[in-house]
Formats: sequence, structure tokens, C-alpha cells
Amino acid sequence: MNEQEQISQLSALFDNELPPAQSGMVIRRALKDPALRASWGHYALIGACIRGEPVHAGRLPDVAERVRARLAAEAEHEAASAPALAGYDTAERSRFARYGRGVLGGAIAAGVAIVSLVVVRNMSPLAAVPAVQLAQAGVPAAVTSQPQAQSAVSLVTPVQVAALDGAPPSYTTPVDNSPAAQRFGLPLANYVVAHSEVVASASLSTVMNANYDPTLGAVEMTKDEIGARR
Amino acid sequence: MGAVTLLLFASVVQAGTVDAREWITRMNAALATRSYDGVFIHAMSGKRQTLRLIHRMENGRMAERLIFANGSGWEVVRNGSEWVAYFPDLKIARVETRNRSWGAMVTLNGLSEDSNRNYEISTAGTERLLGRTAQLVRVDPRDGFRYGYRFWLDQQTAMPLKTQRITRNGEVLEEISFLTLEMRTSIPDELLKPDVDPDTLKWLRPNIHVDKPSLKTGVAPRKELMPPGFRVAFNNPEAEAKGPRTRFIVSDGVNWVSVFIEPADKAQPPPGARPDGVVLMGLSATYVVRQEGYKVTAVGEVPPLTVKSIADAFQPE
Repeated sequence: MNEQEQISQLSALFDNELPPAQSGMVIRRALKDPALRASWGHYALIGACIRGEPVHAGRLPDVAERVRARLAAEAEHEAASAPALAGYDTAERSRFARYGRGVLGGAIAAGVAIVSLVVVRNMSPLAAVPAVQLAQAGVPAAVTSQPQAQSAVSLVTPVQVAALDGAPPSYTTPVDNSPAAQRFGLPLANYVVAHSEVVASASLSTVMNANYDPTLGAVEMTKDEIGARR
Repeated sequence: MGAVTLLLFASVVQAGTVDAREWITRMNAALATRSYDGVFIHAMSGKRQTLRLIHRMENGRMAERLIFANGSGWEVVRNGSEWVAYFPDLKIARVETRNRSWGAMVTLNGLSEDSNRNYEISTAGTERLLGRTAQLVRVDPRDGFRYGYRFWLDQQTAMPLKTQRITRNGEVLEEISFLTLEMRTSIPDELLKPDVDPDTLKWLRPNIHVDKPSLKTGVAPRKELMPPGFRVAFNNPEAEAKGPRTRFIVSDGVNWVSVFIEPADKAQPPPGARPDGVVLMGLSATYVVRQEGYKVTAVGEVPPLTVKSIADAFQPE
């Protein structure tokens, strides 16, 4: 199974669309794979945002660690209970087995409950985008994939836009993904910052730019400056 | 006030446009006066981010907290004119100033009677969003010198449930789309504090130089060379002003471009410039041109040719 499929499965788990048998497998895989674990925490954090809960930066590792601890506890329970079960009859073993499944089910339920995105699916105003693509973009499909009967939104970048009426679109201009410090010199960064001070609409998209570098054109504040702002 | 505005516009614009302008006025007022808490998706340049926005207007003072839900722990906290971006993963906080803004959401406070020459401003029916009825308001550019907007406004509160920045051909450059939005009567201070411990961060500020106060402007805008509808909306020649010496704000009322004038002794083609000399960063386009010993830099979230045309319109006095 490639990475895209794994992320897709994780997304399906948070959509509550994965069969229980596969859920446990996905959770275990996520706990072994740091990248998938990060995706897990990512989805959980978004869920917390959507529910309006206080959001803590530390929540990301918390969620992953919580689930890991839960499964670790389960593993310990299984290991500890295996010899003890030797003396029990079939009915008793079955009861323990149900308990064991309950622990795993609890872990799954916790994961699903952490991100109750089913409700969100019906509220999402963004256009339908393949789940795998959204996952790669860092957004769970459950959040973004179900529009309310709206047309698909196709984003373009300025380099794709024809500058003037009648001018041919310049689709051939490559998007430069090199670090901002290299392609967007310090003086120019200063102008963008100065422009953002005055023009409200520039602020958000400047920070959201993939190449935004907060250190660009900046100097460390003195203790006096830091003290003054407090 | 709303009625006066309507009367002013009634003679020059169509009834549908008046309705659209009234909606925009209501939106501006809502964003300037209301407190709210919502989660939205910001989409731009093929990238989508989920963010939570907590915005408080209390006793005339605005505070705002923007939380990135990408696991990075990034936050942007606004308190009056102070703008602080927290990057816990980089152990950095960056402090900047914001002079004019109602926060992260787009407002259109610069519309005038002339705006109708450059934009078709209209309402376009209603849609259901977030379980509410949303009025679609369109600000469609009439040429390629400017970007436009589409707003889906909550019929009850006039809050923008969805905002798109668009090209003349209707292509979407940027979208802000709320997943949840709650209007609040009050927001506690606690919700507006960053999660990260500020003492663990290195604090940065922009290193913007200030030129000598004695510098003369040297070049001035020529109206006839400006792109249609654009004119100098604001000029700040004050020597004490921070930032590159002599700033002009050029606008058509919807799109805004800053123009900076400096001595050209160090003017060089900017790194990463396209063949036409324009540098793109997100939606921002920047163009630098040398004019008689002065460097003219135009920057704005406008089409590339617009910054070029505006910079070229600044000629020696």
C-alpha cells in the first residue's frame, strides 16, 4: 500500500467510513509511521478547531501519544491476560475477547469522536476535490470535499492569469518554489511588509504564501523593545 | 447614513448595484463592529489551510487571534495595531504593525461612484451556506488591470460566509470559506492569548530602513499614465514615517498598490524577477523601475501588469 492509500485510509477512518476490522490495522500502522501519526494529529487538531474547543499547539503530540498509550495499554492487557486466560472456559475467554475488542473499539471510537467531522461534511462549502489530493494538501477530505451543490472551485495563480484583455494567458511561466530568501530579496520583502501595514487584504495572503519566511528582513528585538510591548 | 449613501448612488447606478453596495456597506460594518469565532478554509495557489479565527471588537478596540490547524502551532494575534505572528516550531515570534485593517477578513471601504466604471457590482441571488441564507454579491472587474471579489453574505448579519478573490475571467485566486461561524456578544481575554509561552521564543521585527528626511520626492505620478481608474489615494511624504522614503498608495477603490520612491544608487534587478521584471510572492506582485536617479517600487495584490503600469506612471518631476 502506497502512502497516498494509507493517508486515504486514515481519512476514511476519521470519516467513520472504515470497517472496524480495518480501523485497528490503520491505527496500528499510524502508530508505527511518524508521517501518518502526524496526519492523525493534524486531523484531530482540525476537529478541535471545528468544534470550537480551545486549541493548544501541544495538542498534536497529545492526541497521538494518547492513542499510542491507549494501544500500549491494550497490548499490556492482552499480554497480561493471555496466561491468565488459560484457566478459563470458552465463555469466559469470549468475554475477555469482547473486552479486548472493547478496548480497541474504544481507541477507535476515541479517534472518531475526537474528530466528529461527519457533521462538517454537510457544512463544507468548498468544492469536491479527490480525497487523496486533499490529504496531500494537508486537509482532510471530510472537511472540504462536500460542497452544497456548488460548482467546483479551480484555483489559479497570478502567473496563470492573462494580464490584459486580449493578451494570451501566460500559462508557461513556471512557479518558482525556491526559498523566498533566494528569489525574493530582502529589500522586496520589506516592501511587502510595508504594504501589508496599510492594506488589510495583503496580510492574510502574505502569511499564507507557501514561501513565506518569517525571518526574512527581520532583526532580533532588544530586551527593551520586548519589554515595551508587554 | 445608509440612506444618504443610497441617495448619492441612486442617480448614477442601477438599482441592483445600489442593493449590492448596500450589502457591501453592511458587510463592512459587520466586520468593523461585531465579535465572532469561526473556522474557515483559506485556499490560494493550490494550497488549502484550515484556520480558526477569533475576532473581538470591544470598546472600539480590535483584537484577533488566527490559529493555523496544520499542526504547526502557528498563530497570528492582533491587538490594536500590533500584529504578532507566532511560529513555535521555529521558536520565533515576529512583530509588525497594521495601521488600517478590520482584521483578517477583506473589507471594501474604498468604493466610490467611479467604481462602477471599473467593476460590475451586483447581487446574484441567494444560496444556502452553513444552514443560513447567503446573499451573493459580485464585484466583477471590467478589465484585466484589477482583481474582483465575490461575497456570500449572511442575510441576517451580513458577515461574509465565503469570500473569493477573482480575475476578470472569473478564475478564483483566493478563497476564504467558513465551516463554522458564531457571532459572540463577548469573547474572554483567554481565548485571544497565544498558546505558546512567549519566553521560549526569539522575538523579531522587520528591519525596515528609514531614509534621510532631506530626500526630495524627485518623481511624481502622472495621472494620464495610470491604468484606468487608478489614482493616488494617499501620499505619505513625512520624513518620520517608517519604511522606505516617500510612499504613495494608489488605488481604484478595491485594489491597492503601494509605491515607494528612493534614491536609485543601489537599484538592481530584483532576484527572481520574471522577464517583464515583476516578482510574484503569493498574490503580491512587485515591480521596480529606475527613473532619473530614483528607484520606484510598486507592490500590490494586483495583476503583474498593473504594478508595472503604475510604477511606470511615476515620472521625473
